[in-house]
Amino acid sequence: MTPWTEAARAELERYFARVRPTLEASGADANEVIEDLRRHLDAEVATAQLPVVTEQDVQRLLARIGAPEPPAVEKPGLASAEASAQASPAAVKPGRFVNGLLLFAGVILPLITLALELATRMCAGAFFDPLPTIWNVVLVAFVPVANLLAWIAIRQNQAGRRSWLGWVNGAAIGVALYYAFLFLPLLLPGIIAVLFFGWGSLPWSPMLSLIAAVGLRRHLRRLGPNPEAALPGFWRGLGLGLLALGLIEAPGIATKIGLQKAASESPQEQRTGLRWLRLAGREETMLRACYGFTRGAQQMDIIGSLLGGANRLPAEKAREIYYRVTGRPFNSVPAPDVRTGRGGFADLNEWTWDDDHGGDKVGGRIKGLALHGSRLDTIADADAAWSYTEWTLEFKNDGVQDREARAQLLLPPGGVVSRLTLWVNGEEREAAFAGRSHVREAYQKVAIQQRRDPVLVTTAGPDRVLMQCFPVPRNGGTMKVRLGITAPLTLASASEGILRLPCLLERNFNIPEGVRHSVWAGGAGELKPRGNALTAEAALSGHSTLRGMLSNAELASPRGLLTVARNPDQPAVWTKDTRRGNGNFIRQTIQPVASEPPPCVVFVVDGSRDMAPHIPSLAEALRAVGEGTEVHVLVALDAVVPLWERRANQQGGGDVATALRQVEPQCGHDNVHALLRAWFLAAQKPGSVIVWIHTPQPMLLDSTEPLTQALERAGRDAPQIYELQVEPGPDRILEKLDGFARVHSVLRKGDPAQDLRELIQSWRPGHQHWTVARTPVDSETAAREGGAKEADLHLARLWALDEVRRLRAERRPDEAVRLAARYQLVTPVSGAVVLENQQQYVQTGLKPADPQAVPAIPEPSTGALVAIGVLLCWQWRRWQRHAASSD
Amino acid sequence: MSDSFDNWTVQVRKGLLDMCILRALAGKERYGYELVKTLVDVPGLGLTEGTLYPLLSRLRLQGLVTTRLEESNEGPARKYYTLTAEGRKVLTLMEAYMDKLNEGTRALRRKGE
Repeated sequence: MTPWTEAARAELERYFARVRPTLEASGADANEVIEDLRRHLDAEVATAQLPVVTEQDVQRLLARIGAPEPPAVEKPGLASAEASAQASPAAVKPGRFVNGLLLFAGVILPLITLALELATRMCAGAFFDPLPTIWNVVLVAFVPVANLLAWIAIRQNQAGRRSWLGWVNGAAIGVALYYAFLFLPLLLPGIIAVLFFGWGSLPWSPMLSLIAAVGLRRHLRRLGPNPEAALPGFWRGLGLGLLALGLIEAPGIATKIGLQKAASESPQEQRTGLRWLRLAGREETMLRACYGFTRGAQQMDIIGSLLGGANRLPAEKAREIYYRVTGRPFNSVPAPDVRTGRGGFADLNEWTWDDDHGGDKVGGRIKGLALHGSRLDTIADADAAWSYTEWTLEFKNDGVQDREARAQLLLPPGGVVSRLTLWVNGEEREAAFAGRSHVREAYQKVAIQQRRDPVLVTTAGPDRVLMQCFPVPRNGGTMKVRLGITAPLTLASASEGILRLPCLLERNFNIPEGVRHSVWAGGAGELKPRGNALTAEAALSGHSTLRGMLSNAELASPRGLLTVARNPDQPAVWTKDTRRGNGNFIRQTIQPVASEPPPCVVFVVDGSRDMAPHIPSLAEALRAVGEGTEVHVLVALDAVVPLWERRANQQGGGDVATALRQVEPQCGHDNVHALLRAWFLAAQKPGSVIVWIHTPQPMLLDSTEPLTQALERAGRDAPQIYELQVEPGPDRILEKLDGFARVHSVLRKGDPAQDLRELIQSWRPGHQHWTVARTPVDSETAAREGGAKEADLHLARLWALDEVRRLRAERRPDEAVRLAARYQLVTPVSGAVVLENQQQYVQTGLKPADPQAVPAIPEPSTGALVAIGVLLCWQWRRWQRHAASSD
Repeated sequence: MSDSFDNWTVQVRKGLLDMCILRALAGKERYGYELVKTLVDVPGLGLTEGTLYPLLSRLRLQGLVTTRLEESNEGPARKYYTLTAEGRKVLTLMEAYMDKLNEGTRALRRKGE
């Protein structure tokens, strides 16, 4: 390296100081050029092989190099870089303050906002979801990334990136523009929040990032040699950004439009909307709508407002549409992670609404509310053909709000709730039984207004009850209730009764994995379970005991069936009817009756999605239809489709089966119109039968009034309706058919096709079935006639249930209510409510049941069950001994 | 008269400088000193180092050339200049334009004769 004298260096620096303004004005990077010139001089010195570089050497070299030429004043263009550079302030980078502002507004704030929203779903929970899909996240993240790239390019004078950054910036502006528009309604609340709380600038993030992107574009444009030349890619980049957004948002927006159309008043619009949703609807969007929106959320959702205007979609309507589109109830699938206006941010502080609180619907699942324990204790008297089951349910609430637990329970066929107990401070409180509206009013008064401890049970269709209790205390509190259910055994033959355990059809609480129903069943005679979930335990001679744990699905399946052996030579039993005073007895007789084939059978087949796996086997079962029977098959789709309408041929229902096999169930459909049409067909021939084969219909899609009118006005020979539900679950149509004697539920013993086949075969000539008749008699002698055996008071309860039905059918509701209350029964006209204390009973005009007069296991006054008590004691001693020996 | 001609040549030269630099780099990458030695020999161009380096800097900022530094055993580190795709495209346009311009002026001359 050749040494330089001080004077030489000083001369060189003077030269550079002199030419620097010219270089800067020329549009070149002055520092770079100076470095290039230094390097060039070094090369010259090295080539000249100077021993030392003096001031004169420098002057000589610089003279040869010459000063940079001033920029030419010519028209803008590539070849006129000097002129454009001189005329333009482009080379002037943004100042430090502006630089920082652009970085904060365009990069840092959007990134913080995105991270916060992803972590908390704050906006999604409180107002609307700006990030419904991962692609939205990618697009939103694209804006600060694009801004950062532009910011770096400007800072480092990277003019080479000008063109493609112009496109990227255009696309970022497009995305930011959309989100700025989306957040417009939140800008003012954002300012207010900042002023009053010191935070709340996040809603401004899209708008600020948009402003930053536009600012960066201005600087990007100046980056080039010609600041007047347009930066490429604004409109096309913006278009690309909006196109990407459009593609991502299209399914959600199409779903919202479809929902609006499906909720329209016009049937044509409804059909279009449903078609649209079935074709391209986003399930997540529909599901969120099912959980409703707060008023605030509705006001802030600008897209929803544009699509729906003032006609915002109510949650109830959304649930109906969800069912029609998917064929599933909205609460049969897990609730969405973010429920706009319900969850997400709200979940941060565990604050959510329960719209169905205190109402008569089960509603959606509630976070934190769960079944903590469940036990079913059941006894059966096979000879007297009754069973009594006590179902104890314990709920736990891990949320921070008190919650109402609600469930629809399926009772054993012909069953009735005859006892209701609530544990208050560890003590058992019995229910008051009274008119349906009376007990509901009392419940609402205590539960909703006073927020104290009540539990309410009312009927919800044939063999169905709605149980609701409040409050399940917050922060891990529990609430325990018990329902006692009296039910007749279903007689498969003279020597076998069938007991079906109650099960859950619909619930608003979760059942944690591992929580199972603990079942104990005992009684005189041999008890047999279906499947191996329940096992027999040692019992006294002539008695049997079953015990086991059943999952919720098992309880609702045929595994919840028990068969009970009975003495076929014991056709009559009797009991003292203590509720009507001394000298009153109820006598029950079981008689075989020969079947008569119905002249006409109308099959109503639900065309909903969940029927699909059952159609082939159900079609096969139709082959059992007897020759000559007039058969109609109606399929309930969006419209009623008459599939078959003629007499069964020599192959029985063979052709009907072939026709039914062609049906392709999909979505969810209303069955009311098909049932009504079936009624009109069947009612033309006395003694006809309607067989309704269906999946649960969780939404009532149309009025059932014409159907209930037909049932209420039915004559003696009007059609009987047999409903066969292929899957467990709630059915709103059935709920409306509560209390009609002509509506029969087919006991589900196994495969739906097999149950249907047995039903059809039961109409064949010569087939026998058993009828159970309960009649009041006024003397013990009459009651004992024919060697009748004494049985339990449950006989009287079942007789009273029959009477309530009769009185109701005869339009004598007051008498029906009084009878149901006296026998402590939950019927279509009566309900049961447990209140917290005596004062509440007095205030509401109710009288709780006497704890000594409620049914129990074993029934205290029943001698026959003393043996079971002895058996239990013996079993308990045995366990104790076993436990002691184990220790 | 002489001043007018001088001004005119300055203007013409300025317009041609960018094209000549790009052309010099079209064949291969060159380092600054080498480029200077190549271009100073072009008659009439009148290029000096003082003119060349600001031009190279601007061409880099325009994205028409890229640079890289490489240590050299023979002296200071060398800064190599390479034509970018964009630079190549611009060079083609410039040369096409020049050809057209030359053709036009020649035709004009022929007409004048």
